[in-house]
Amino acid sequence: MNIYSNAGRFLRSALALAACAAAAAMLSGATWAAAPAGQSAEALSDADKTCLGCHGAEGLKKDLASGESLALHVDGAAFAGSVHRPIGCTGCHTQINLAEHPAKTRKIASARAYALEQSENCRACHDRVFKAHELSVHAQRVREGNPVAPTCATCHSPHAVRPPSVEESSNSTCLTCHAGVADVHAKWLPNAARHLEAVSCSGCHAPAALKKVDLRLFDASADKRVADSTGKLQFDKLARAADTDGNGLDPMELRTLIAQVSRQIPKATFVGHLEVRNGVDAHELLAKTNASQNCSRCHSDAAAPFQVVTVSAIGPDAKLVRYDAHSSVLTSAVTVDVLRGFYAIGGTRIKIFDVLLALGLIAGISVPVLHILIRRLTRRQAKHPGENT
Amino acid sequence: MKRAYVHPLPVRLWHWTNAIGFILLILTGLQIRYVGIVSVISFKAAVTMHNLVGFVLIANYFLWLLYYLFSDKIVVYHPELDPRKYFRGAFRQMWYYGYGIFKGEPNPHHVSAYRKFNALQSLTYQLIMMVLVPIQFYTGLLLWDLERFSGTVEFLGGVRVVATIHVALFIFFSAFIFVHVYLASLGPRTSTHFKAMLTGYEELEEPPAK
Repeated sequence: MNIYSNAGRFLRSALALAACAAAAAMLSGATWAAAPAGQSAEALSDADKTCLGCHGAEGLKKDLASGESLALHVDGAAFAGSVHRPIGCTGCHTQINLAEHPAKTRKIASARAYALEQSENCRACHDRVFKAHELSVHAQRVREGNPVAPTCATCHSPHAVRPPSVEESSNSTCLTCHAGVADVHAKWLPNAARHLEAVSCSGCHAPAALKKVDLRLFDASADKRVADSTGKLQFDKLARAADTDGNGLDPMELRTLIAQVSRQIPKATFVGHLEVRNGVDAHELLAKTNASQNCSRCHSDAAAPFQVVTVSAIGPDAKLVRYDAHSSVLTSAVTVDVLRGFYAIGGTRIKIFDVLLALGLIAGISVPVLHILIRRLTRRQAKHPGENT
Repeated sequence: MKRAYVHPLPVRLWHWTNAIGFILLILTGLQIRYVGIVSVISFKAAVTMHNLVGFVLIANYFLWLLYYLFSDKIVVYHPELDPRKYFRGAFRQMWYYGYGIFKGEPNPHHVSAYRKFNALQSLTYQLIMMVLVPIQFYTGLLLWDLERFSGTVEFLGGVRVVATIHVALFIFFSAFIFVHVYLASLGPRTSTHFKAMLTGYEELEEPPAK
């Protein structure tokens, strides 16, 4: 390749970009001007704005050989707020040759073939996730050629992907395809609806993954998770201030934290959520026959998932603010009122009641025993036995 | 020896169903709470049995309630309507159990068909049956399906508050059962009250010959 052909490619690329830029200028741009708080359209690079000049137009599509249409529209606002914004369009679409774009001659067999091809792009950055995913029932179905087996984009819309931890419910993604699981679980699982609310799907369906409990800051009056979009709450700062010894929040320090938060959110509380410690492991989802149905993995004394505890709130830019807490916050009587949304019988029992139960049983047994002893000792004095209960 | 019919059939059915049920609830409750430490049956089997027995006892509770509401036997809980006399009777009974019985004094209470409880018993059983047992059944019902009753659970302060109340009462009932059985043995003979709760007939102690 000589210098002239390179210059020619550059010139064609420049012309293509200029054409897209012109289109971008002509389009209202409203699609991506209204980015989420903290992520304005200005956050997008010029190159991405250029791409969105065409791809921001709703209804943009490509007809495929299979007779299907491949949607080419990208929601600019969602992309500006996604975790993929920093890498830009060409971060994933490496095969795009701007000099020949749009490539009218490019043949795409089907939407499915394109989705599978694009999934390979994800591997470049998400190699560990890929390795975990390769072990999953989802990957197995893809390998078997199942036409509806999910690819990366089925669960994680690549142009709008947000940190999984800030999704309202991590299970909602799964329920998109697995509708009706509530009924299936209700057939064998006591309190099934509660389990689906408080436990992530990967909590049981990725049995090898290590689990933990995240105590999410919750506004009981608004009935939703606290999202500190303005940064006024400063959850991280409050948590650090409450943690006076700097080794994570103990039960009393958790009370202090909630008291501080309550100055701004009067009905603040924590709602627990059992999830995998490492998001990578969440991809190793096994078939339901291999999912854990062993209740005692959680419902047992000192169960592993309850040994790692964090508190969290959604901070500015929709990023999750997390702080470590002691596992004892789950088993302390001190936190009964501030940790109102999480209790796993057998696993997070309040320890002081073990002592009270022992005292109760000792009292229940010793009172009759002592009474019998005293009656025997005083038998000579007794003239008449008692009469009734 | 004179006899009095003090425990009608519905009451005996209720009592023994309740007795077996409470023992099963306490045992399965122990298994549920201390799974991993106690391993007699599986956690799931314990939960299933606990829920089932709980519903049986809730239905059984209404047998007791409706029987007493719709029969004249309700008098056994309140033969004495004067609160001063009532509490004095309860105090006298406490005094007897705590002191008089050791001195060989006679039981201040005398059983009859409409006065089968002494004042202390009447007071205790009313507290248990009208307050503590309904609270235990209600919190158990809430814990059975937390999503269905999520509004009520939140109103009460959350699942940990509800569970704490349930466990606190579980401790009380576990301790009470021992005392209850012991007090039942303090009849004219050890077996008198147990037999009465099976046959319905209470043997009455003959007054001492003058």
